[in-house]
Amino acid sequence: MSRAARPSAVGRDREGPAFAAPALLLAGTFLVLPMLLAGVYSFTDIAPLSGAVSWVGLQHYATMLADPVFARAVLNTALFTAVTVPGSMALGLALALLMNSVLPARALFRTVVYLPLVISGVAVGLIGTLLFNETTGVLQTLAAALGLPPVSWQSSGPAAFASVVLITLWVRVGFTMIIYLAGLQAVPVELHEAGQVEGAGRWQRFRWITWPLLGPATFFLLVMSVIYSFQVFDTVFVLTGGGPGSATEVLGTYAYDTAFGPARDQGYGAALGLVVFVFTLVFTLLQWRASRTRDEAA
Amino acid sequence: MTSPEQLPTPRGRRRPAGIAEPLRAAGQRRRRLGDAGAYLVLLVGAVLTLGPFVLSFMTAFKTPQQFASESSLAPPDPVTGENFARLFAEGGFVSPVVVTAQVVLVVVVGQLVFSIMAAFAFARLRFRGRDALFWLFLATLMVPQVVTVIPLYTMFTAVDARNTFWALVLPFVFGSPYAIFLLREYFRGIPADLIDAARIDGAGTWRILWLIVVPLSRPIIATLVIITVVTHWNNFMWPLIITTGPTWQTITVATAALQSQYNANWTLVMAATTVAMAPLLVVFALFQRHIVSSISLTGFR
Repeated sequence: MSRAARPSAVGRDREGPAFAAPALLLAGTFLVLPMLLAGVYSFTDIAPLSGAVSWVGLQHYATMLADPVFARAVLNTALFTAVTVPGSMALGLALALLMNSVLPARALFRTVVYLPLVISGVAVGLIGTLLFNETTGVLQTLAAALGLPPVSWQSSGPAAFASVVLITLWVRVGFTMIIYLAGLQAVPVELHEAGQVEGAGRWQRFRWITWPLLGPATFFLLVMSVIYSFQVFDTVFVLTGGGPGSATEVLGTYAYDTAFGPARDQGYGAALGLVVFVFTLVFTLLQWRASRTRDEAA
Repeated sequence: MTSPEQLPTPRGRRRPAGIAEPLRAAGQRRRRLGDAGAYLVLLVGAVLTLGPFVLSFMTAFKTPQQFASESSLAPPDPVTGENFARLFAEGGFVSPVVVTAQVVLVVVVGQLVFSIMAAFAFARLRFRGRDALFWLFLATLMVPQVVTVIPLYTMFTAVDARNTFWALVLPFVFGSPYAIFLLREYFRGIPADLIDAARIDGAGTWRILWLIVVPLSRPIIATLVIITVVTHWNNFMWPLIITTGPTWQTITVATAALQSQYNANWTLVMAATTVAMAPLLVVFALFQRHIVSSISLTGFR
């Protein structure tokens, strides 16, 4: 049936706007309006108690450039992203490749590995504190049992940062693994067999057959993981609170602490939040352009 | 079926039988070794994944005395429920569980009904500005929560609605861009003829939506229910900001507060963590298949 001949295609549906209204109310009141307000707030000072607003122009952005904690938070967020994204993707891919080759009990392994994904970031952080506590922590007990020196998971900056990365990998590997496993199951067996006949080894078959065909999965994971890592909050907040000092401070926790911590500086907090948004936006646009050029080239 | 050996070899699927015998034996031996290696690595992965869960459950069932005096790896001895008893008695944990359950219920129902309506409008109804609105909607997916919470806080303060049930629910109850996006994709796959036939029979848009489209979309709706339950059971930043004191604390906020309040009371905190995780692990066990597909669709977090 042609499009024009469809009764629903004739004229307009009066109910259309009504059906979309609640969702538009949502978008307008609870997403777009706050977004615009955040932009406005970033040029103002908001008094902590009275809520009185005064215009300060670009002052918060000037402060930001000279703020060592902000610089640290940007660096930490970038480092966190640079480690957790490739790390979780590589581990997830490795597990997916192993699972793809092992048929019995595959479902069981898959179930186990993605278990951490369904629990809250708070629960993840609390389990992290149980593992990484410097005095009673499980890892310390294990290290002692193996005759290894204790690690200052809480008082040393790099070790605390490592604890945040490790617990994040614990959660994220399940996600990357599932996506890669789905991607692997779409790779035609015939291609591998043909490769084998041609004398291609395991690595060559992976490099020239499997990896290119996993392109879309890799792309999807890259976008999702980078956005997630930019915006990380719950787990860091609970596990380290950004400390010691600002060793594990990320943009999410710094913006929250600035706006809702003792300082209650909501204007500066909004400006910090906008930085997270701009990073996300720029990255998404770059990825989108990259994927478009790739699609056009293909 | 004939044995594969007798078939011609399409695309070089099999080596000729004669030469292959010794080769295949060696190959099989190697494959078995490889399989054993793969299982071993997977087993290590499974232990590393499950370990933290097991440890937190174990801790929740230990007495504080045992936790203080023995290795943190020791199994609970005696196994005790006192942490849970204390949690619900003096820790005031009944309210957070009830509040969270109410929030999840209202948000799931609201988000589903309104997202279904909007997705249907965006997929199947014709009105001015429809596609522009839809893309605007999608763009809001990129807005990080940390940006919107500050103005939302002042908005709820301005109408004196901070620390209320509605403050917890309103920002989410009218739909979710994710849900609308996923449902719209699904609805577009439903044959137009079905909908047209119902229209010709005189069914209105409302009836078509609930009697034809929704029953046909059960898989995606089930998936969305699970995503929404998990997301809002686990939601932290907004409840943390908008609630003060115990009245409207959700389970995540109460658990995190417990940690700072009863510092180093590990057995109690792990009991709370267990209570927070248990319903999700049950949901997970019941709806595994849907969860797998929902993770691949959205990534959860």
